[in-house]
Amino acid sequence: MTENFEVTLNGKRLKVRKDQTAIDVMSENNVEVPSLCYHPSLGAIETCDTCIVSVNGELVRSCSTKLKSGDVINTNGEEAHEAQLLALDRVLGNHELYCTVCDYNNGNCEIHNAVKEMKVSHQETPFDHKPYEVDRNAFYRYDPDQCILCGRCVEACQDVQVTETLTIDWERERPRVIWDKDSPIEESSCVNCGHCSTVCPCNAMMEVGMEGEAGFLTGIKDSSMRPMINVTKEVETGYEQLMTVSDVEASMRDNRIEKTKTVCTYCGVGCAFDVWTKDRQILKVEPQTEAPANGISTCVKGKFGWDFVNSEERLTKPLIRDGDAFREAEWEEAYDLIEKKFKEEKEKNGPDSLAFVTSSKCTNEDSFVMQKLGRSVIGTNNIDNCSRYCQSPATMGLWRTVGYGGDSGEIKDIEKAELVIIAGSNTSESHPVLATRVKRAQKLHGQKVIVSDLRKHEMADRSDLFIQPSAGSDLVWISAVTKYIIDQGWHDQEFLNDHVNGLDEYIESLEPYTLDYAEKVTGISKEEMIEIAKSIHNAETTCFLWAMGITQHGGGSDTSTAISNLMLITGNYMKPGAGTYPLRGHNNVQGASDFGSMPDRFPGYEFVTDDDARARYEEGWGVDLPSEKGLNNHEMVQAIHDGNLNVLYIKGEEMAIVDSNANYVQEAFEKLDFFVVQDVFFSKTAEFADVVLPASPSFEKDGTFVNTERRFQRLYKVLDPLGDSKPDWQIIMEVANRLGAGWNYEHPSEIMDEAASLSPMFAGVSYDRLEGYDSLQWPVAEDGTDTPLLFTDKFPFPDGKARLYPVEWTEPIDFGEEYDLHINNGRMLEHFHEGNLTYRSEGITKKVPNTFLEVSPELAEERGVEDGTLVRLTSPYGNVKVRCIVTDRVKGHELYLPMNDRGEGAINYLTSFHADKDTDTPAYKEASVKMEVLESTGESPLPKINHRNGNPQPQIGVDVEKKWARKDYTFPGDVVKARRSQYNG
Amino acid sequence: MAKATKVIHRIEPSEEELRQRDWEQIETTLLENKEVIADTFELMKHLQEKEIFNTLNALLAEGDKVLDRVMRAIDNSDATQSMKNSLLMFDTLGSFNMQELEPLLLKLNTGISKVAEYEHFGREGGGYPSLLHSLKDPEVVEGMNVLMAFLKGFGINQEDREKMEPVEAKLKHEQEKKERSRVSQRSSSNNKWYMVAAGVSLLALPFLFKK
Repeated sequence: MTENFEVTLNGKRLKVRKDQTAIDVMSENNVEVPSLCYHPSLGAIETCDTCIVSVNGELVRSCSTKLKSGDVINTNGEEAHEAQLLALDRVLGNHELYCTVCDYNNGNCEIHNAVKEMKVSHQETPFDHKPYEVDRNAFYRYDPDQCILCGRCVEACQDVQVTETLTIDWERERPRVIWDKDSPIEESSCVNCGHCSTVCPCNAMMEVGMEGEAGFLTGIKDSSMRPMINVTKEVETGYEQLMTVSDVEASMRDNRIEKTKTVCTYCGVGCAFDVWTKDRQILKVEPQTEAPANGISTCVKGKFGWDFVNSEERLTKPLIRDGDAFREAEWEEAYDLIEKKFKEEKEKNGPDSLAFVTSSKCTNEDSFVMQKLGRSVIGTNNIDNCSRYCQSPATMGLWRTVGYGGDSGEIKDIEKAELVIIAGSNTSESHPVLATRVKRAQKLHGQKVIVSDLRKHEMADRSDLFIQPSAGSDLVWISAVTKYIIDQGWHDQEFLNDHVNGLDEYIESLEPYTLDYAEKVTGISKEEMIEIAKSIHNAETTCFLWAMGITQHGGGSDTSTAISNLMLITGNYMKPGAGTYPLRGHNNVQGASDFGSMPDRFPGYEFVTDDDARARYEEGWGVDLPSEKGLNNHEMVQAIHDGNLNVLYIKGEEMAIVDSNANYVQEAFEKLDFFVVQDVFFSKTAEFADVVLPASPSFEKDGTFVNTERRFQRLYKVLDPLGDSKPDWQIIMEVANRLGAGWNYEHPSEIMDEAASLSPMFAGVSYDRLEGYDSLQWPVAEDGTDTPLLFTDKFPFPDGKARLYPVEWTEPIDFGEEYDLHINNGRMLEHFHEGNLTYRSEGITKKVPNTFLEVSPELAEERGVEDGTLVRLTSPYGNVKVRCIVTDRVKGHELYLPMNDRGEGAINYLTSFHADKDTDTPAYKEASVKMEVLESTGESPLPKINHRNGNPQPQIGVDVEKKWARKDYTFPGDVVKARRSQYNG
Repeated sequence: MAKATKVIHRIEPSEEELRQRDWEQIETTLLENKEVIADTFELMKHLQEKEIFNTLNALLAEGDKVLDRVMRAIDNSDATQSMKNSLLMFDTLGSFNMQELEPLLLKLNTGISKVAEYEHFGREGGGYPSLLHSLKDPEVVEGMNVLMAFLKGFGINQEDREKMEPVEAKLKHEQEKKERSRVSQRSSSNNKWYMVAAGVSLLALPFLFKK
């Protein structure tokens, strides 16, 4: 229970909560004092001293002063005011006020605003240049002269992002922010997440996109700028005029700088932020504290990876195949051809000879109309999306056990958990912002982290316990740990009695999973498994996070089921800070399936075979609907080879490269009678098409996404569609109308209204309830009540009880002795998938120009491989050529090839068509190769300027005590007190 | 059946088509804004007559160079002081109360007239008696009263309203002011005898100088 007590604020008695600081109470009651180093998402940093107030007569920093019962806070007394002025004056000694010609003068400069509010007219501490040059890379710059040493950037880097690159060197005569051990930004361990520039209160740490672009006078040449600043300073008679002029100029900027909220498309975390644009130019991405999933956080792709939107390579007109080439065409001609071909095929071979693949990068509304086109206009359930390639097994595991295929809670629950287990997830590179929450909780709040992975990635490096099971053996150790817990009597009997069915049968199924057996199969020691069991037993709350390392196996659904079983056995459901969290890979993997892009389910996961559900949709859409399950992606490829599928319509998926056994998939595409591809760029898949339709990316449309937390968020149109491109929902509607659909949506909100009216799971979802940064987590009741914690008193089964679901281990496929190296694959931080988007960012490509193969030091020695060696990898299904780097992130005969290549290094030229037995998700992680060295030496594929070569400097926060210990520092409160006592004799 | 291809034949509109498209856009814009355009041409005609276009063209064409020279010249000359003085003067003008200032100005004007009429010749060496004699003149006495009122206002501390005072000094002055007011409160009764003495002396003056 929250403890309350009373304090007095400026003579008014108030009830406050325990653990509140003076500044919390002041801001809740609209009492404002300057607070230049304080940021609500960072907490007290205590470097600037501008928030000094009087508490019980003592002058203290309000940001760090925890209140006690009966405290008397006075913010407007003369002494406090004088101390604030002194502190602000010192700040101005470190920051030159040239607001009108400053790119940061957009109404949000906190120094500018503090000077104005405090009515400071002149400064006593003269501004003095620091003896350091401006440093910058392709993403942001640091201007030491403008830096007030507040330490927000350091706090964000050390304790929010937890990359631990930035510190302030307080030992220097003129302190400054430094990278690593004083490296240039470009050569440091900085991952360019952008936290520092987001939280900087002024223009010291600023996005380079803003430089010379934001203001009307900021593009002036440097040679004129300095004299102009000098003159302005010389002639000013007080800061009031300066402030007024710069305020006027800032207001003028509103006329040409648009700030539009959107949602990131680079992973399933669902980071939301404002995008600042000037015409089509992107000035910066500005995350907001109120963004529900990410707050102030972003990764390099979300913060800086949007150059592709204005790429000259964007598709801007429809393309029609003409012999062995494409020619640009007008929309009407493209639609004519699609109409003719679709009608002919349906007439000739029936609706099931056509299939539709929607995109997990597109909006819910795009997905909804795509499946509606397939079902209600064509009459087929051959509809799927790319979650088939990643997360379907996780969803299956959760459907089997707890009834809903979604995360049990919010990202905040992961933050809160006492124990986090991460299996088969390179979280800090695949879901960077979510990883920061775990890293922070571990660093500051003692959260325990256990990681299971083949590869020693950052999370493994940071973990309290890291295990490396044999590839594809996770089900075995998870089941063995579960069995050990039950054998010890550590299972949550009360929870199992009240909320779970099938205990006896399940316990029986665990018989084979002894610690001895598990040790033999997985290579993990019994002691380690016991340690895991004990950790779960000792923790009040455990969250289990997993991703493709678990799901992309022949038994991916079963391993996901085993995870959920373990969480049920230990009672880690139905409470905050606990549960299962499959980490969704794409921005709308969750939403694409939620909105019916599945061969067997309508939106909201109702089966197409369910007569009641189908009747509801038939009534809503006024047509008869097919009742047989359709083909999934994997089956579609096979059906094309078998001659049963002749027409395919794919939007926003690079299926030719991202599906496993790429050669097999591309051969299938060659066999199609008619192939429509809808995309932002001319992709590898598009090369096989008959018609290519130019679509608009997320920045050019309205809509909604559902993130990994089941959270609906709105994105607003930032820019108009480029050229003749159109939003996907509009293209699909126009295609449907050519086929007689008669749809007349004018805005995606109307599509959402229709979906909400038909799917009980989304009954209360509407654009009005998703205004700005508002969000909803499904299921959403008609009155708008949403469900942040997915299970509170029952599970969605008829009797309200979850089900323990016995599973057996499926051994990974064996490629034979010839293929002696196991090749693991996955994401890397900088690039997104095959790289259609991120390789178009000059800054990102400079950091990682190509993909690379990670080779262990042991293997490198054995095969004569070094950084830069060019090798060919061959599997039974194809081969790739790629340069190597030698790293201990992998061990022994394990290789790691990031999936970020469209050419000779694309991993899926090596993978097989073998798939998860329950969902047909390709077993991407079950691949073996042989390696031959083509060139023994060469340039390293990982440039020296990559963050992986940096040298982080971990510490807690900004180390403010070192500032306080400086000889030139005195607490302003003490100065004021001393002065007063001198005058008072 | 389609083999992969990367060949794309773009629609390349001819020069003529592009020109035609541009003309159509311009025509539409003109028709939509014909009144604004007529007014704009009227204005431009005047600007051309006054050579403003040529001047602006030259200025903009050499913008960076001109700005650079101007800023350097200003930066390195007394111009900054004069600009500063102008700004201070502008601020100061705002602090005048013109309504109250009017009688003073009228009096000043009259005073100046009197000075203009005054002739030094033949009056040099008039000595103190002459001055004391003037004190009998009611206009002189009234003038002194006016000047005393002015002096009184002149003596009021205005430091807290000064534009150029640094923060530190301002804070210090505030403190000193309080100190003084405390001291003056304490010592006000002790000073009363001075006021009585001064009053008596003033009253005695007319008698001393009476002929």
